Amino acid sequence: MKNTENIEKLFKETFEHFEADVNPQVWATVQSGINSGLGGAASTAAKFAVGKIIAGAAAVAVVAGSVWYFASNNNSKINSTSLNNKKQTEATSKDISQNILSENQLAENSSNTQRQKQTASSVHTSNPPQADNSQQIQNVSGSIDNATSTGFSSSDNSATPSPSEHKYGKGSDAPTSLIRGSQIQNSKSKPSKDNSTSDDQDADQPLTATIFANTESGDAPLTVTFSNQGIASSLSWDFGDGSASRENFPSHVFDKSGTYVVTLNAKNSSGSVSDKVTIEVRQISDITNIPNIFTPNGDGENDMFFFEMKNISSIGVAIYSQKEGGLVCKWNSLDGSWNGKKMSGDDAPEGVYIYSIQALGIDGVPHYEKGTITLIRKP
Amino acid sequence: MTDEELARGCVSKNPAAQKLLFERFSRKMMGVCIRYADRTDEAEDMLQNGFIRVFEKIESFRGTGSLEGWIRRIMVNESLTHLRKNKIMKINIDIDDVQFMISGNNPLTGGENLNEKDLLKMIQQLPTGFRTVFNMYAIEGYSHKEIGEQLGISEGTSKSQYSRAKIHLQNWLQLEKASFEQVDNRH
Repeated sequence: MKNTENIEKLFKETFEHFEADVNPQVWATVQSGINSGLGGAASTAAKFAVGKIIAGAAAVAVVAGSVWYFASNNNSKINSTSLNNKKQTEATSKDISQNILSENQLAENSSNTQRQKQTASSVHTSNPPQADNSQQIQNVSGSIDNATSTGFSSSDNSATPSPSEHKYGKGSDAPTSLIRGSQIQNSKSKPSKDNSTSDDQDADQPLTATIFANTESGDAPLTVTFSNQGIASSLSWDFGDGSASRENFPSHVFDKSGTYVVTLNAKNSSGSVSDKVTIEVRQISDITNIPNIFTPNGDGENDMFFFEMKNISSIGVAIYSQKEGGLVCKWNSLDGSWNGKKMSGDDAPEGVYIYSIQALGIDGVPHYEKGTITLIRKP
Repeated sequence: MTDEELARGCVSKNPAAQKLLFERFSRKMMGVCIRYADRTDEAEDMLQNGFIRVFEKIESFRGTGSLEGWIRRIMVNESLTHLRKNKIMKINIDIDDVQFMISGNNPLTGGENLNEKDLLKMIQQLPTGFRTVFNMYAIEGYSHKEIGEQLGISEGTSKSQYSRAKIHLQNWLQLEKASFEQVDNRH
């Protein structure tokens, strides 16, 4: 408990009156903010506008990235399955264009189609795990006509369809972009005679929640852009990692490896429906092959204590003597190792030492390894 | 010029008073923002928006408390707003998932006696949720109830976030201490 009080006191005393250098640019910005007539609001708004443009550019980059990824996936398929190259290339470019289409226009397309074909009276769950994107688009736009085949009929607009859920393996056959979902047909819905159905008929639209994710698996940190391919007036997203969003097209970064179930809750005046998608984020950093013995005698074999690292961004290693106590060696560089000497430069005696390795992977995964290493000096 | 005179000058939008107020408090307030941010440029954004807010709201400063305390509260609010907008607060993070890093790029500078730069580095390396709660409770002196209201979490969550943050800081301090003194008995 004494420790506990100390830590509070230590930080409180250190930071209560702590001062830090201020970039002179800050005053310039504040000054222009308060002198621009409307004061800070205008300046803040201007700053946010720039932020949005940058975010937009980033979104484009994400789309471009996913297209490239998709294309390279298909290329590897060509090599491994020796399919007809020309056909495959055509398919690839089609997929790419559909992929772009799906990012930008699919929501609009499918909702238009659904408005035109609103004669359907049942619910459809589009659920094609292995279909390519163009098929998925057809599935969504044609879903109303095929709806009865899925036997999910709805007579009550408060009914909540069970969310569909998918999990894909890591194989290259898994599509990088998928559409799935659930939709609920409002029982009051009437066939639309006019293509230009306006917003005041929102309540008569079938409420649908269909998550579109531009990718569903990848290495951490993984950026995923989501959208709802269904129709709803308000969306809320739960990314399964403690964060949430109410945006229509949220882009979310999964910092750490793991399996995240992303839930979309779509609402309009008639009720709410939800959809789920599983995102797999793979860990790519690791610390392996930590030896338990080494012999620093200069014979060129096992003279140094070190270990293997994969995609580690920062590290701290400390070696303690078990016998005498106290730090023997310490390093913070990725290429560090222990040559069996004390910090004084003298040879450390034979015996058992304790290592403590703390590292952070570029994927945000922390690694903590602690164990013993035996130092032996053979003549 | 007293704080009250300075505040009055800012109410009448006197540019010299505004500059003076900024000069008087900006280093202290940067010291606040830098604890809530994990990067300097982020702290500068908080500071900038905070001061714009200060000049907007200066009429509402009643002079009942200290001007510094009033500005500080605005800075904390502005920092929280910034974090809410730009960060995943990760309030639900599991303690076992988090370990302290001795950053390879920024080795501690203080040696045996940890200086404020080292301690700041430790705070900044806390996950955002931990860092926010720790700052508000331990340094700003908010109650867990107030923190809960500000962050939209329960009082209990604030308490557990705080104790977890503290455990991390303690472990890290101990490791650093052990580096310079003796290996502790846990081994």
